Amino acid sequence: MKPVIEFENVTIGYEDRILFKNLSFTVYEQEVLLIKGPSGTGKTTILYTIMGLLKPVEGKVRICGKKLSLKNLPYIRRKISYVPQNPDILRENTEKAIEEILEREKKFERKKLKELIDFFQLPEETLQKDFSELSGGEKQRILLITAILLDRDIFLLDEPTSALDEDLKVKVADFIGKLGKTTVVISHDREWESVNNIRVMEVNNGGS
Amino acid sequence: MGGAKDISILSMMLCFLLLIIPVIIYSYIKLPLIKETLLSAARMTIQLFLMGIYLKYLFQYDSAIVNILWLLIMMIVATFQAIRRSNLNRKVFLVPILLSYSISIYTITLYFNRFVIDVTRIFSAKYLVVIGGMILGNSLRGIIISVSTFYKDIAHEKERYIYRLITFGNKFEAVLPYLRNSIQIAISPTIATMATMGIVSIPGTMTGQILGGASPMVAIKYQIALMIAVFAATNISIVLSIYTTSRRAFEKRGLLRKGIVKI
Repeated sequence: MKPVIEFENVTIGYEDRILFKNLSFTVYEQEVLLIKGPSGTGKTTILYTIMGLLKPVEGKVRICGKKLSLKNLPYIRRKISYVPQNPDILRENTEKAIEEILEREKKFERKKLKELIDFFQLPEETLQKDFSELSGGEKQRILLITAILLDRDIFLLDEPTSALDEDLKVKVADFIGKLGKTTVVISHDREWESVNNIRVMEVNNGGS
Repeated sequence: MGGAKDISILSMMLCFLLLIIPVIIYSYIKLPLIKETLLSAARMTIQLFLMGIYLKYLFQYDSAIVNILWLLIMMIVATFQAIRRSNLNRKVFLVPILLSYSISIYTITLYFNRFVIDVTRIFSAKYLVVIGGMILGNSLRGIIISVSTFYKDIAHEKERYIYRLITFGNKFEAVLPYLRNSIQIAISPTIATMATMGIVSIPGTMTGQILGGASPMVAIKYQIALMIAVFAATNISIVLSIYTTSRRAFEKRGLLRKGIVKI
């Protein structure tokens, strides 16, 4: 299988604080990597590095075979679907907000959207509501559905199921696992560990 | 018709006597604004008298270069003061905002002088300094509010901004809702003022013109023209300011630099 995300002896951090030293891992095509670790260890910064928001202090990062240079950033970012930890992202009418995102890539299909709304056990009227009126769990599912419909090669998911109840966590994790996308998920939820072919990476302060 | 009737020193003092009323009210309700009110009134008096003196010399000398430089000095002082009172980082914002502000004010004022009031000496102090000064004074507040709202919102909503940056794939799309909101917040009061103008009050420019001897119809035309000029200058300055400041405020990879705004 092709390597999609490659970290080779990567040091990540800010001017005043190094978070990870000599971090090395590879995520292969269609593989799901679960990053686990205590809160505050900087797991999200690994996702920020993959998205090219942070320049590694040292080491090599390659995404889809390309070096994480400024020149390659637009190409790399077009490959990524990101679901942030804080789901309070969209504004105004939920369906319109989803449509605005998907229409840019001509990927808006109302039928598919409705099917996913059903599958993720969201009430029918969710799409007609303002996004701000939705609960945390509903917002998370809407962002996941948007990511699924965007259909990009890499999924970066930061605590995407934290506000869901246990049955739904299992269902969502299983669904994402079977999508066949190269996925990096940060989660404290045990339900992700039972996803088929998942690989778990434990991180702590100062390394992995 | 002649100019406005002069106000004697005694009459000015009688005018200042009116300040006793708010001072008594503040004192009675223990509102700690007395010192600030008196200091501000004193500053206003000194500053405006000084302005009267320098305008007299500017009108007498009336050199295009001096007038252009004088307007620039007014803009530097105004921008410096406004940024100091805002939550923006002075080192990052002063030069780009000043540059944007200058381009906008000079362009609109010269356009106004040449095409709207149709004067031939467009750099004359009477037109460049006075009209430019009025436009700059009325647009600066909006620019600072807009720029600071724009960066404060992006800093507050870091994850939403990153989501848009990754999902839409370019910075323009990522900042678009923040740009819309910042312009709306800064411009809405001006739009509201335009919509109610002439219903509940006689605006300052009109009052000045009528007292100076102009007919109400001429005064109205000036008021409308100046409102539109201020509105256009504010909008141009906002967009230029955000464009020029964004080059310094964002890192090359798209994140907002640390310490750009105090939040």
